[in-house]
Amino acid sequence: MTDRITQTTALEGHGHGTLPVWKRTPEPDAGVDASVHARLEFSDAAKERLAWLRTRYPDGYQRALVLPVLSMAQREFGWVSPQVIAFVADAIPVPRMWVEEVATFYTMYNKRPIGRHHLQVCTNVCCAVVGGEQLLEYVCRKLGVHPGETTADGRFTVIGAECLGACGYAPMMQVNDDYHENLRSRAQVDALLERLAAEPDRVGTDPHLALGPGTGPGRMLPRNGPALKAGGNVHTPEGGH
Amino acid sequence: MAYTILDGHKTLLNFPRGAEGTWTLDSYRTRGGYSALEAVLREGRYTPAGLLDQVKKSGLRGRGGAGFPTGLKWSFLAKQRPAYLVCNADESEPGTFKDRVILEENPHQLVEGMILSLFALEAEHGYVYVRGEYVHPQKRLDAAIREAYEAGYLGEDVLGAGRAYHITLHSGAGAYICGEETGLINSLEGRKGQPRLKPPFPAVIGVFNKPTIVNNVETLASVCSIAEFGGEAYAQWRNESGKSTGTKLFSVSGHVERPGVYEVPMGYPFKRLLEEECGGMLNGMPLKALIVGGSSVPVVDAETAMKIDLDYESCAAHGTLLGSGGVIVMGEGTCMVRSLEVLLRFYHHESCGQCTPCREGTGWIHRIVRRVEAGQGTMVDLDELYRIADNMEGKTICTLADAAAWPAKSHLRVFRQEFERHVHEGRCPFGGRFPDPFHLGPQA
Ligand SMILES: Cc1cc2nc3c(=O)[nH]c(=O)nc-3n(C[C@H](O)[C@H](O)[C@H](O)COP(=O)(O)O)c2cc1C
Ligand code: SF4
Ligand code: FES
Repeated sequence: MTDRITQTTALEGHGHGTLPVWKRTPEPDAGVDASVHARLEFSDAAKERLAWLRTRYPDGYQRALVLPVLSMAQREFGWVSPQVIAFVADAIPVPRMWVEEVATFYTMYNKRPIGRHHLQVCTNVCCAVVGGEQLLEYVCRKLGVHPGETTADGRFTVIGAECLGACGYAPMMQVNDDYHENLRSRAQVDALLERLAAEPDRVGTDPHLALGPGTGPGRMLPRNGPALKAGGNVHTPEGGH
Repeated sequence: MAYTILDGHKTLLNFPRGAEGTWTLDSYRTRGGYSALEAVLREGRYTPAGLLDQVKKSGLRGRGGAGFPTGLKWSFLAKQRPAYLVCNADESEPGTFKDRVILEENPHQLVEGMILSLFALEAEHGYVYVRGEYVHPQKRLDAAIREAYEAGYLGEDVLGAGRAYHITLHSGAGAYICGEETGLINSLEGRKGQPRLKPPFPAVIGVFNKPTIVNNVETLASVCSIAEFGGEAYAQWRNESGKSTGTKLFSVSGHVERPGVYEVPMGYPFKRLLEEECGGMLNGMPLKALIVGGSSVPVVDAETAMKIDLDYESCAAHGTLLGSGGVIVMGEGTCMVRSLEVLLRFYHHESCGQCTPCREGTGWIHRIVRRVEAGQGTMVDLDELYRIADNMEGKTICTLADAAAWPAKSHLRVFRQEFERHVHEGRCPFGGRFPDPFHLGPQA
């Protein structure tokens, strides 16, 4: 639910004396260096999961693999460059355009590199009425960026997000895979940012689900992953679930 | 008010809040989990048609928002096989976070409900489409599905009954429109999540060109209670004043002391939910407005809100809809123009762009409201806003356009004075800001 930059409506400014203006969705590779993706290969675990995924959808409908495999590729390669799109298309295999249209339709595919910590602050209405917008402003000011930008050291990308399904635990932000909820004081936000700044690597990439969901006969991924604790999903202090 | 069986009766959140391990198979079994499935498959409690009949008798209506009677929907499923069951766990409607609690804390009830539903529908394979941001809920459900395979509740020969059942978890990738059932089907097939023109309805041609039933997480989890206690018993669980049956999850957010997800019988008075369960308004601020069923339903003022019983009939009688049960509570000091502006930004952003009234209309009314909020609107703008919103309704492939039009029209109708103040004063009387109860913004 983020990345408002690349999701432009074709026709803006209709009516009210303005002539329709056609806006182009920026090319996925506009102004970014994708040379890191010159040679791509899935890890062994990803190859195994791909083989397993093929068994979960009916014959003749392998197009259903586009989302799961593209998501897995993003987890393996960090972001979705044109090279990654081509690689996924060949791996399934499906026409490149099928992968490209999915990569540009869905907001969770990052069409450019992002910071190590992807901070998505919910500013939809339930969060906004209890300070979600102020939280976004505060985080941006602390890190010295505008919404949508990455800090110079590449550590943090901050963006305003639409509803993340945590409305009762507001204000909140998602950091990579983790939800950080009930951020009800500046001190809590400060502590969180400090902790993240000290993290050596991306948080929230639990090896158990590192590549995406998948269960069933023939599943080769580790069966006894780390215990699933409430983790980043801290619920409301008292009262409801 | 008759709540004799009902007070404290829980069928979906039947465990203490915050309890550890409720998501495991062991814990679910100690709460009676999988006993309905065993009775159906091992002891032949119901035939598939018999179970479908119980679902009809229960009066269960879809919990995803539209409230379509579940038994009736199931009876439309075409005879051709294979057929598929798809669980809609895309949950992205602002104000709605109830399915997440089932996925995180009681995922086995969804798994059991899906297997029972597959049995009733005489289908084999179910998909659960979970929104991509729900990584932790996905982990819990993933683990539950694996446990169910290992325990023999899923697989080629379930409980030795000679029937095969499979469930596959499929992750979305960020798009509200994939919650619409045909958008979801397109997304599951690997396409852009753009809704399909109906007919044909999914029950005839759905995912992978096969007959398909799409149901919400809460709907499918509720099937367990129906199979366990019978449709007639389920239909008794309600407030006597209304016709809606069963218990319902309400996800409460906004200006309340204890937000969160609460399970109450249909027909539970909103006043009681607010004052007893939620501990009243945050910091004692007075209630100003209520959105009772997720961001798409019409907003009501405080006086009306206090009269609402939480069921389909009472909501309709008070000019709103039960929707998904996303209760958004707004206290005095909330600017209703600003709140509408945020909602319309969302609908404009999430419009899939296929239909002109939706693609253009959502952006158009958003820009008008943004202008009014900035103090640059005119009285003509207000009429335009209403007229355009009115023209978006009922003209599009899916109801996202309606879902944007309803809040727009109702905000304007109920809080007209506030819109006019913005125009007359040439500024937002609230300074363009939402309340900041936790002092995260710049200190004055
Ligand atoms: C724009 C839009 C978004 C929707 N989002 C959801 C959703 O997130 N979850 C859901 O269960 N139903 C959602 N629905 C309703 C579904 O189309 C469908 O009615 C529902 O999944 C059917 O299940 P039920 O009968 O069990 O409620 C949405 C509908 C529309 C028009
Ligand atoms: S109403 Fe809007 S979201 Fe629905 S199909 Fe049309 S353009 Fe897409
Ligand atoms: S509005 Fe912020 S999580 Fe729903």
